[in-house]
Amino acid sequence: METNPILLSSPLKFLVVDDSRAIQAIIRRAISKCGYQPIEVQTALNGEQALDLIGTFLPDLVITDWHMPKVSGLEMVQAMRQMGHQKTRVGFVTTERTPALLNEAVANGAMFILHKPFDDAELVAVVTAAVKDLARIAGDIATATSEAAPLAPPAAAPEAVGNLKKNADPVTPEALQQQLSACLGNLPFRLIPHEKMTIDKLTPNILLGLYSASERKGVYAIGMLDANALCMVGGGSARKNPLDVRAAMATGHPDTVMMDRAHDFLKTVAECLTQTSGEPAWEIVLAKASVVKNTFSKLAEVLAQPGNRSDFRLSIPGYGEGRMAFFVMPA
Amino acid sequence: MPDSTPVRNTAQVAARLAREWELLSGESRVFDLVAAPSSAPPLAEFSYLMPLTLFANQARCGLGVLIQRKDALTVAANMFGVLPHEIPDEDLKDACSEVCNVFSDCIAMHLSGNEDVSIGLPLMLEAQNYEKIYRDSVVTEIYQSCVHSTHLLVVVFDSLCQLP
Repeated sequence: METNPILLSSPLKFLVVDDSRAIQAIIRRAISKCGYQPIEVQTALNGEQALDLIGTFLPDLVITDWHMPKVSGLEMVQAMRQMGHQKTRVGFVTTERTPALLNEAVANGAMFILHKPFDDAELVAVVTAAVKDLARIAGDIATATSEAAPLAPPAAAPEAVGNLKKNADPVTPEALQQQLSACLGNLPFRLIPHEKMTIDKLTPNILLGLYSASERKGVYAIGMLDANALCMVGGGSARKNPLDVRAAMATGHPDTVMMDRAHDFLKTVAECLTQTSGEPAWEIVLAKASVVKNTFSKLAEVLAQPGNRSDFRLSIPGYGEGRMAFFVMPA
Repeated sequence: MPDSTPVRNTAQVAARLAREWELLSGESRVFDLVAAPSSAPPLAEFSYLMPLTLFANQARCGLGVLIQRKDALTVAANMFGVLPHEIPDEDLKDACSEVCNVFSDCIAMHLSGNEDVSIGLPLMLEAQNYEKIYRDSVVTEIYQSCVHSTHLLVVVFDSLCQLP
């Protein structure tokens, strides 16, 4: 049964690696049945070709065979990780059943291992599950911003949300200072409010948090931490060595601990948003958070939004500087 | 032949081959166990060999898949999602090689029981080598599926000789 495609603001990118063109064709069909548009699919006949492609194509999900000439699927994934593509999602379609080898695939971040032969529906299910959070973020922002569309010109602020006054700070500097103090402990830091986050100042990756309010449909607010702020908040919270934090900032690749701690920090900001909503009965929570690329087209629209937004620059001696911003979406 | 050969469940193998063929080709058909002849059954146009190695004792075994053109067209058309007359021979070879790859999982489990098996890459069987391989190896089971006078064969090599 045909269903309406889920329209995304930027293409989901898939790399299919299999020495059989027939299997490539089957996987392509399954990807197209996941219902997302637009999508981009590239193919490689072995791990060596795939490694050549990954650096430029930057796929969201790599779906790979295991047994291939030259470089196997597992060797390809291991090389990919060594090349710094830690976050690239991977799934295997294979006849391999050796537990030790499958464990190694999982240890290298395999999100699924599907045994051949498979039903198309099985493949559609695992591929959809592997990318749905990426797609959902795009969809939610698209919904949130389309509800705001057409965007008001900068001079005309959008209507207030709940009891939050027009142009009021959804996250006050005092409230954020308090949350950061709780997060960073006795680590000295400086929070500089009202320094507007703009698209040209963004780091390549952004931690994006979507907040929901119990009495409102869709996204209530969006929080953004650039990669520097993510590493600083996450690393500072975990009391990481400044050298490690600076190294993560330089590469733009925070480790898992930094990610988890930054995620926890975004959760605590929900309390700040609740304070300013003027609706004590509303329960505002962090619905989800994920890292997105700064090329994600909806980011520009959100960053151009006037009205209810709070922008900050965070400075931590020994670590460096990062930026964060919070936006309440017009109802 | 492996030392600890489990009791062979040939009915289960036949059922699995039928299911795997159906998933790949969209065609429902039955596989039957037939007695292995002393001389090699005729090579089909698209014939592949998959070598397997048991981790435990490094014993070499494998399977051969012999596919005639009509069946090759059926399976390739389904896998590529195109009409049979649109498929070039290269794609027929590609699809049949993948059939051999997929069948190898079933046969590997059948031959090894719960032992780990190293699966190789499918090799195209050529007439000049095929009879020698068959003669110098140990074949105890052949699974056959016949539809409209086409024969699809899966030859189980309990022990596989050194390949020429």
